[in-house]
Order: sequence, then structure tokens, then C-alpha cells
Amino acid sequence: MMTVETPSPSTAVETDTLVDVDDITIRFDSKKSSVVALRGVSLQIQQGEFIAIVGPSGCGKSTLLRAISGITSTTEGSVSLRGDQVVGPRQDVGFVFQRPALMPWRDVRRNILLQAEMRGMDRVEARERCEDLIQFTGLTGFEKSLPHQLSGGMQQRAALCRSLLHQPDVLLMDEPFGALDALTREKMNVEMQRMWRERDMTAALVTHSVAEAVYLATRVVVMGARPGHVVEEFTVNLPRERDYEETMEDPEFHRVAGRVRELLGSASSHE
Amino acid sequence: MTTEAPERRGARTESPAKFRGNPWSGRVSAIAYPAVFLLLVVLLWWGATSTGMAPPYILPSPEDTWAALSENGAYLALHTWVTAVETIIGFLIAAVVGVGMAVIMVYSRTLERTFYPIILFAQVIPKIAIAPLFIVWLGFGPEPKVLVAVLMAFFPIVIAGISGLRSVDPEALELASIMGGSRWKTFIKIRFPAALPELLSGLKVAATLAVTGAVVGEFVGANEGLGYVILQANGNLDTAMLFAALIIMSALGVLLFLILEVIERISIPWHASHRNKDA
Repeated sequence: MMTVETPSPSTAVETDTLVDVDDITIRFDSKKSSVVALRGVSLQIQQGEFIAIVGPSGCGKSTLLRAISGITSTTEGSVSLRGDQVVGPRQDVGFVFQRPALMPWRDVRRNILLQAEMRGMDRVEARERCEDLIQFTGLTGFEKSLPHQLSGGMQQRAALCRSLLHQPDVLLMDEPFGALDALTREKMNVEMQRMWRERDMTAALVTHSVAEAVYLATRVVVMGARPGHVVEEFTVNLPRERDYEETMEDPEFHRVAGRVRELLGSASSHE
Repeated sequence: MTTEAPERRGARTESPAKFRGNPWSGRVSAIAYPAVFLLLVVLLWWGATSTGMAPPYILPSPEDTWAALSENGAYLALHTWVTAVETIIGFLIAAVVGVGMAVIMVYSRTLERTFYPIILFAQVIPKIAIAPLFIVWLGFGPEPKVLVAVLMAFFPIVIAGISGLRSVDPEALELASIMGGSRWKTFIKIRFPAALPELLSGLKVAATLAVTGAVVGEFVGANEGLGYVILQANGNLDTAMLFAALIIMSALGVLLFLILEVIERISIPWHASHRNKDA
């Protein structure tokens, strides 16, 4: 099932495995039915990687991300973060949902600082980092705006700042740009690329957009549905710094995007 | 990031201003329309009494009612004070107990199952029917009136509290668990503020019911308060005084409602119900 096209980082000599998903199965049991969301999924994420997870609806992409963060527990198999087994919600990750999930009564700055308040972080340090993130994501001038006064893109930037305030080991994003219009989404992709590159982040992104996945990721994981499983992984051999237009025309981009689309197409034609 | 001018959501911040026109027109109409309607009602009332359509012992004229109000100022003020105190104490107890119950029931399924039937039972019992029992238990002081007010006001607060606390965004709670916040912090910083809009709606309903509760308590056995004034006036066939007491009672309810409305505007300015209120 799991064929690896190019030498995968997991087989290469790398020691910095940050996330280790080891053969996990997740089943949701209710009184009436039992649904297997994931079966036998394994995935390693190395320090500094950007993983994009794509797949048809209902293939358990989000469940996989939630299992890494510990919000959802595994039925079989185990997940480790930096060698520690994940048993409950983990505080060393940053999580971004599709909806910004900002507190409507807090302005942008206080929404970002919620992270610090909940964790009991050092106030001065948190404040400094908050201002830095506000500036970095272009939220300057909007610190005192309430969420409902902001566009979807700006709201998602605030959510991103909040998830980065505590400098998490890994940033997990569940379709963070899915609700944005195409232009804003593109802009956010460019910002995300720069952020990952300049801040030495490790990230995992669930997305429906193949272009977004290949543009951002160092490795694209294609999943299939019923039950959710990993179909194939592709390493994207593009430089760390990627210009949007240039990347869109790069033969490597087209090669990977083409293969991913092919796989997704055949996956959905079986339905 | 420097290349981009951050976009504000124009549709929300700009367009209402265009349609709003004169920012005062909204506020004026909020006062003028009901005032005109009220004037119309008083005119009809005055017409009905001055033409002799309704005799004074059935419907007192507006002049007689005004006379009853102004000539008995001190007497009415004393009894209004009594009823107001009973109402406010009853309302405050109901608010504290109601919110506390809502919190307990949202956090514990077992306690919810235990308490819910009892709360419902307390609600469906006609308060006027148990008020005499409270008099037997608690005597003729303010306590039984406060208790009836609590019973009346309690239910909408619990219901609004439960539904408010449940309406919190589940993703916000997941986020809280990743942030490692304690249950207390999660409650204070996320769950409770999210519940405020619904809770305040419940409190507004409860405030008006608390007045009714206090007066019902007074009907059953009291020698002071607006309920007592009504019973006295009724006994003397003094409909003007009866009307005067009724008007004060309504004013008391409206006043409490307005106070909560102000609290609402201050505490949840972010809520959709308070955005562009003048539009």
C-alpha cells in the first residue's frame, strides 16, 4: 500500500524525528455504529520539515492531525512527540483550525495573548513576542480590532499568531485557508512559506488544495478513504525559498502536483 | 508582508454608515415612536372616561389616577420601596443560585439528571398556590415574598445559563486543552464570556418576573408593599389608587429591565445584537 517514490526522509539517516506516528488505528464507536477513521497509518515528521496532507473528504486527514496533537486518542498504535508518547492534549504543539476560533469579546492582541494567559507564560516576554508576531504577519494597526471587524484572512492571521506565541515544536494546521477566497489564500500561502523558512518551523498542513500542498511542503502525504490510510508520499525537491509564480511554473512542482492529482483522481473514481 | 495593505472588512464597517444617515434618527425614533403610541393610549383612556362610557369605579380617568399618584406620594413611595427591595433581593438570589445551578448542570451529567426534574417541577407549580405555604413557614415578613420572587425568576436564568454555557465553540475548548489551561481558567476566560449573551437575555426575563413574584407574595399576606396597596384599594373600590399602584409596578419592572439592558451593552459590546444598534 505505502509505496515510497523517492528516498523518504524516514529511511534516510536522520535522527531528528519530531513526530512519530506508529501504525495507528482510530475507531469512533457510538451506540449504533463504529467507524474506522484511520487504519494502520504511520508517518514521521523530521525537525524543520513542512508536511502537507491531502486526500478526499473523509479520509481522516483531520483525525490524523488531531491524533498528533492529542485531542483525539488512538485506538491502536501510538504517537510520539519528541520521543514522548502522546496520551492527552499536548501543550507543545500549535493548532490552527479552519475557522479562526477567536474569542469575539477579545481584540486581536488579547486574543493572541490568551495563549500566554492560559499557559501562565511570563507576561513581558509574551507581550514582546506578541508584538513581534503582529508585526511579522502584518496585523499592525489592527491590534485593538475585534474579530468581527476583520476580514477572514486577518482573523486567520490572528489565529496563527496565537498558535505560535508559545513557540511550539510543531505547528499543526487543519485547512487553515480553506474558508478564504482564492486571492487571500494565495497571499496567505506566500506568507506561510516565508514564515516557515524564516522561523525554522516544523509544520503539518491538512489541505484540499494540491497547489497549496506542493507549493508549501517539503513532503506531500496522499491519503485515501474508507478507512483512512496513507496511499503515497512524495518528496518535493524544490528550494526552501520559493517564489510563488516561479514555483507554479517549475517542472518539479508540476511533476509532483500531477502525480498527486492522478492519485486523488483514481482514489475518488473508486467511490 | 510589507507589500500588502491589510484589508479591513469594508462591508461591515462602511456600508452601515451610508444607510444610517442621521445618527440621531435611530435614537429619536426609539423614544418618539413608543411615546406617541403611549400618548394615543392615554388619549383613548381619557376619551372613554370623560364621555361616561366607563364609570369611574370601573375605569378611573387619567386625571384621577394622576391625583392618586401625586397626592399619595409618600404612602406609595414607602410601599414601592418595600416591593422594590423584595424584588431586587429575590432577583439577586435567583441570579446567583440560577447561574450556579447552570454551571453545575453543564459540568456534570449526573447532577443535571438529578436536578432537572426538580427545577422543572418548581417551575410548573403555580406560585400563587404555594405562596400561602411560604407564609406559614416564614411568617408575614419579607422572606416569603422574596422566596416567591426567587422561584419566579430562577427558571429562565437556569435555562438561559445552561444553553449559554453549552453554546461555546467546541474548537475553542479544544484550543484551551492544547493551551494547557486549567478548568477554572477555561471557564473564566472562554466558557463564561461565551455564555454571557444568552445569560443576560435570561436575566432580563427574570427581572420582570421577580416583580410579579414579590407582588404575588404580598397578595397572600402582607401589610406593606404594592401588592398590599392593590388589595387595600380593591377593598375600598378605589380604582384610581389601584391604577396608580399598577403603573408603579410596571415602571419598576421596566426600570430593572433597562438596568440590565445597560449592563448588557457594557459587558457584551462585541455581540451581534449590539453592533450598529442605531442603523
